[in-house]
Amino acid sequence: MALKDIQAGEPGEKVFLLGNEAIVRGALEAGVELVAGYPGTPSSEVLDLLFALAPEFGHLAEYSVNEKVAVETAAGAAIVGKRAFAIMKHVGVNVATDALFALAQTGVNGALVILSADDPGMHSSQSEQDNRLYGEHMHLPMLDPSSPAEAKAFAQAAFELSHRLELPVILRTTTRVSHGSALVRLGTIPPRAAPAEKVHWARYRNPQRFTMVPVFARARRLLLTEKIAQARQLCEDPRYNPVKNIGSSVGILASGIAYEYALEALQVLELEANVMKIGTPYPLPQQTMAEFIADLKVLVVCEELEPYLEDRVRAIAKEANPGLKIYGKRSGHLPLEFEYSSQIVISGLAKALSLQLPVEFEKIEHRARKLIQDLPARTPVFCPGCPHQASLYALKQAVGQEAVFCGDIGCYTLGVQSPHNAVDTCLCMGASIGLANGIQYFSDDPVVAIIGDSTFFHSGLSALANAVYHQANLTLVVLDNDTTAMTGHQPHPSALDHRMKHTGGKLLDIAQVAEGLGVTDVKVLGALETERLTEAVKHSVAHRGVSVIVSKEPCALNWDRRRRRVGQPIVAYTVSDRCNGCLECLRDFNCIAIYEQDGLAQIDAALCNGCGACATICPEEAIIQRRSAGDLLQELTHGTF
Amino acid sequence: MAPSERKFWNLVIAGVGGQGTILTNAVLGRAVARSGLEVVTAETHGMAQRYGRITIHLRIGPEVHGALIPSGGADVLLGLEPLETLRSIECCSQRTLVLMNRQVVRPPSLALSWRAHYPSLEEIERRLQQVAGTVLSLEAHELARQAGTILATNAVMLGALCATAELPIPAELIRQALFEVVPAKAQEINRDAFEMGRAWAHLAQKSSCHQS
Ligand code: SF4
Ligand code: SF4
Repeated sequence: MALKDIQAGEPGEKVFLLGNEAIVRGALEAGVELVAGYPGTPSSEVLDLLFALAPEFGHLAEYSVNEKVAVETAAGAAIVGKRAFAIMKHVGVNVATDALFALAQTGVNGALVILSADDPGMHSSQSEQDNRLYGEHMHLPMLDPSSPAEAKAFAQAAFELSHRLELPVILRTTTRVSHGSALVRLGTIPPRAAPAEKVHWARYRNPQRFTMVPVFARARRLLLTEKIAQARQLCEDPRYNPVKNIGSSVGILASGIAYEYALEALQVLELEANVMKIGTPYPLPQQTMAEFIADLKVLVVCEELEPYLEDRVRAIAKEANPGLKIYGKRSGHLPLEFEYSSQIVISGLAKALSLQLPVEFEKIEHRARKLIQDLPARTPVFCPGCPHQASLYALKQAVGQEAVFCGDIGCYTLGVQSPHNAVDTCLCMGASIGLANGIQYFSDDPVVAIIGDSTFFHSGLSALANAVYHQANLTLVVLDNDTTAMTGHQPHPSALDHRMKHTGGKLLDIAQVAEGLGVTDVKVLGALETERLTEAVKHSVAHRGVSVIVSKEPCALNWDRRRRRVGQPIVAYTVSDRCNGCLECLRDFNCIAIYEQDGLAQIDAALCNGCGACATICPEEAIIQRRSAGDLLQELTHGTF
Repeated sequence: MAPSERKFWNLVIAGVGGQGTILTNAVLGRAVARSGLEVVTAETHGMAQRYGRITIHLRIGPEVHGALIPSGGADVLLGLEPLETLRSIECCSQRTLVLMNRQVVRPPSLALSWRAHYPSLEEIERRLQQVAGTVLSLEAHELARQAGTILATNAVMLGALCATAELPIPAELIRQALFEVVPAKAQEINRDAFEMGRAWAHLAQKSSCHQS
């Protein structure tokens, strides 16, 4: 649906697109030539769609192993004059910072745009960070759209700006822009000759520019200051930073989605104000900002996360308008944490300007809270048949409550919940092994690190090498479900999938990689064979040194898809009359297809995925497949099939 | 106030992952694209792929801004699951029409004695009625099953929506967009399902008129 709209939408047509889809169209209209990224909510659709569209539009695309490699890959292409796009979520930028700081100095020849999709409110992230500060910190120009339509326009503009300044440019979005939908007007996608044109390196070789030894780096540092001055001039452009001056003494300075909220707040409060929108958090249009605030009495700053604009406009006001009253986060009128909404901005604005609220939001919320306070929660859970659930169960059986469980980032982080209680830590990608390494120095209890297959390649390799090198005593369990499940099932080095038909790829084997890194105790087991897995974990934990267990079984959702593709039926499990109501399956294992009815376990046939893990843990052997081979045979011979 | 005089027309869709909330969103967005009005939406769900709560805020108007609807601001709350409909009650006020499918999806966290913890449908409706102007509930999933597949539940709900709510765009645009969005082989079933939702709503409205 959306793919078709992005692909075939006619120039001038207005289509209903997700912010991320609008960015894809913007990149295509800008003539992107190489795309690299690592998936992460809320950025993943951009990478997935551009990967899918590569054969048709002739650009190259790869799922890189992590964001740093993605940025470096895109930078390589941009150094040889191509237009490249590196795609990641906000915390992914952290992984790539090392490359980005230096790239600000080297610059690029073609164009390099980095998508940083921030997640205010941490809908699906471990931390809330405001990547606008990276623009300033790295000296990289940054565009910050406030709507899907602007996301498309800014995506395109980012390539032009990068090309013109010969600097990487960051396109920064937030969850509400990336995952919001609206009508977007399409432009023209330039035709391109595929396959990509090769270049002569001799044309681009320039060590003084691209080899950042101190003597060259210092020269480039000075040049960077000049480029930023030039960028600052370009950013005074009202296309990026529009001003609406109606001669009011009240002004609103806003950016990102908070700008939209501010406009609604003005409508709701029936307030007239001058408004300036900041689309380039770096470099800031200081001159326009100074002019904007010069004649104001009051300024309210609307921005999510850090008081970034607020602090900088305060500095500008020292000269431009020392008497100006500035309200925002520092003044306590708007919150410092989490995402905004129209309601938050309406309330904050009313408070700052001592206006009456037209709606008693607090009363409505109070009443609503009372009406829902006793409702059962609907917390996220593992899919039925999820192999992680079986692996975590086996792990827990093997090492008990005393062990240390250092978890990582992926669907398996859900194992933090009861009854699994098998994730004691989760910091950032790959941190399981490093944390386990630190803890094992001081722990006599078994130390277990748990990491997914995609995360293992993303940033587990160097930590594993470190653990082996320092003779750590820990067990690493790689939950290998043959995909990057949580972000929408993307391929990775040990999971090439059908989407990679047009690119090809070489499959890496996790067990071999571990052996190659010097691990001597490596075992590979099926995740659903819980008894064997339990025994294996016991052995590995008893082994001194680093041991690795690869617990393999495809993600249940992918397994479903595969079965559907080949027309293989899903045969559900059922609880026979041997069930004595011990309910161990619910208490210790808790697949969501299993529930209690009149004191006995029941399996919801519509939910059951037929994995059989529960059958291996039932002490009464009461859980059986709906139609065993015997039943089938009988049905066949009696002609009822 | 007639919908055309209001600045925005606000819809909240509440449901559980896998119930097709996103399809409903796509249908409405497409329909608005043909109407000359503007639309913005925001989709909120947690980290799980499935079975978690999903809400969509959708706003239509000549000019629209942020998608998140302020408390009490919904014109319609389209509830695909009763518990999640009630959980969205914050968006309701006297102006709100609640249109709720009575299909219960067991919260996965409630494996043990879940029936004891899940409020009765009557209790859910009673609480919604305390706040919302109108509450209508239907067995949309059953109607869909009659039409051919439970997957067409959203078409039933859209049919019911078109017949009960004061929409800012012509209902015909929604009907057309639905047929464009669903796969070709499912069109007939969806057409039936849409009409069944519509017919149900006409009946329901007649009987509620009689009551008052
Ligand atoms: S998406 Fe796959 S890996 Fe994630 S919870 Fe579901 S089955 Fe497990
Ligand atoms: S076989 Fe058992 S564990 Fe597997 S999906 Fe069915 S009920 Fe859940």
